[in-house]
Amino acid sequence: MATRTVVERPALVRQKRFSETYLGQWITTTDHKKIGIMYMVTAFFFFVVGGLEALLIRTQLALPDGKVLDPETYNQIFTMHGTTMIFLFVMPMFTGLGNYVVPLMIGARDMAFPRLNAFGYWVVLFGGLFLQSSFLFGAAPNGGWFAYAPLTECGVQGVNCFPSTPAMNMDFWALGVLLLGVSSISGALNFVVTIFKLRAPGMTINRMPLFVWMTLVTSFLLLFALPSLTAAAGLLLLDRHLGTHFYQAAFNGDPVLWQHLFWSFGHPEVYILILPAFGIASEILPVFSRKPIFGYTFVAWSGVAIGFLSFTVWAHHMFAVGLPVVAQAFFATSTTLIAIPTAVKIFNWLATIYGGKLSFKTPMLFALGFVAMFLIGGLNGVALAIVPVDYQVTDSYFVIAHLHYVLFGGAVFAIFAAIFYWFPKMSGRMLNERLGQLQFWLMLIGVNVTFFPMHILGQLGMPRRIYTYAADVGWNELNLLETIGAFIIAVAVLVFMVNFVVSLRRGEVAGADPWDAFTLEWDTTSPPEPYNFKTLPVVRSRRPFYDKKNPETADWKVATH
Amino acid sequence: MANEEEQEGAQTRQGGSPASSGAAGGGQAAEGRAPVVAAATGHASFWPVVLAFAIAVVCFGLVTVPLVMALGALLIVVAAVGWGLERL
Repeated sequence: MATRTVVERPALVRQKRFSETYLGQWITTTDHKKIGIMYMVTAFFFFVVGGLEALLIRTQLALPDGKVLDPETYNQIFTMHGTTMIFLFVMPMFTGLGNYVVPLMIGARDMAFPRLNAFGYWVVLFGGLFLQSSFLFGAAPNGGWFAYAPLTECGVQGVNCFPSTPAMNMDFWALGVLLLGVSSISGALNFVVTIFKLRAPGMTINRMPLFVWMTLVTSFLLLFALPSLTAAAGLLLLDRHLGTHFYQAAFNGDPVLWQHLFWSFGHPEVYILILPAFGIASEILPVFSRKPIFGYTFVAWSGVAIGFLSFTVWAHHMFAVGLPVVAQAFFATSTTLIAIPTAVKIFNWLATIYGGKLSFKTPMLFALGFVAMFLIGGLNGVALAIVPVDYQVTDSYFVIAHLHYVLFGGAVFAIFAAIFYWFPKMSGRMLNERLGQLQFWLMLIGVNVTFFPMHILGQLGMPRRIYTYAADVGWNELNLLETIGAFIIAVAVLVFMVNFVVSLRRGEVAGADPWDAFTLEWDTTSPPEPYNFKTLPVVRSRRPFYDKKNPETADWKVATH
Repeated sequence: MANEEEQEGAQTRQGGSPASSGAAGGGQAAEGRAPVVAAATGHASFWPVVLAFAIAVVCFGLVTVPLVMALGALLIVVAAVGWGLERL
């Protein structure tokens, strides 16, 4: 028998470099998993900030003639609620999820550009702090999250314009979104290159997980849509400070130009906020139905179709500004058309769960809740696509109902589904199932109690962004009901936070594959090693991990893809 | 030995066929060899956080005093050069 001599080497002792300390590891990391976690934790913090702002709004509107906040503060709170939730919660949360999961799903060791990845995160953190620091100056943005000109036109100098927003409030907004746009673009570029160039051997485009597909389409949307916002915000800053008149009608500028530029970003933006959610549902529903996704090709390419069509519908946010009739007809048509690929996805999800062996664990509950709530939001969205209907309800609470059903019922439910699904992989522990179910039901009830009555309030004529209302217009009971619903949602979020903290310390140990899932990220330890995979996998079908666990019934043996 | 491990780690990182047997730092692995972690993972760097901070300082300077903006701009240059010259 061969023997080996083990030579004991003296231990080397040296002072740890900063990047080797606990704090230093996080600050200097370029590991996609750590960056993903930082994105998600930061995004959740801003979710709580935005949520508190929402509770302040609802408290102000709970009773008629409310005086909880003064009008200027109210304007700042609703502006920051929208801005925070969109730019500092949903976008970074999906970026963080994608950061963590996408390289694992495609069998890569990391993102294509690790330092750029880290840069993207730190810009979100500092950009978020920059935006929120506006409160410390008493100058939080106050012109609405879409900052319509000419309301937002005048800077401190008030040169050649009526100073509606005279202080630096909207400067914070414009600079903040410019800064956050830098992060989004760097992240999007990274995702595109990673997905195209770092897939494991055998993982063709048509074998990629659907979450990866949707992340890819979202990344292209970011790359093409953000320049519009950059241009819009840049021109706004020039108008506010350098005496230009891009958006000022009195000087041959055009306020509607702002709306065109903003919504050219803003509509693709809402698909940026929902496409990753579609991807999440497309991952979770099959696993908890014990079936492959129905109509993979249709689900994937409908996402691409949504991406293209999203650039053709922007003026449905502007039906009431006086566009020519033929333009309104075009945008109404394109908006109705974009409902088709979305419906294709919904039918495919339903077909996936039909006949499946369903398991109603918390990720599945949130995924099903996402489908149902997003469906409601999609249906009232199609109603808004009809121009005469939009004439009646534009800028009313009907629109608030629509956007919250698609963004809260849609994106937020999908985010919680993803958290419950992938938390075991990230931490090695399971979130508590009972608390998860409690959170789901509270959230479902809360969302519907808060946002369904807004359909009615909108049709009764309640405008959005109003500070208060008189006691005799007939809006009292519904507003109070919505406020109660908002606090139910708050309780649900508290339940989640307790669940998170307790499970992180004392949750049931998860193992590598607690859900008996199908995709590659489950073929690593929980949490994964820094290098992700000991050996890079070779992929032969759309469910490579399922194939590995079930070699007799592997997809590549029975399917042609 | 170290060079051999680095090469194998690089090969594994590039997605090539992993070594299926052999000693890795004294141990034997039946399934395959773990890649050299340093070669297979990213390099820690503080330039991303410095550059991000610098850009935020410039924005902050735009709403406060120009001196802050100038300091931020200088820091951007330092961070960009440091990032570009960093050895990986």
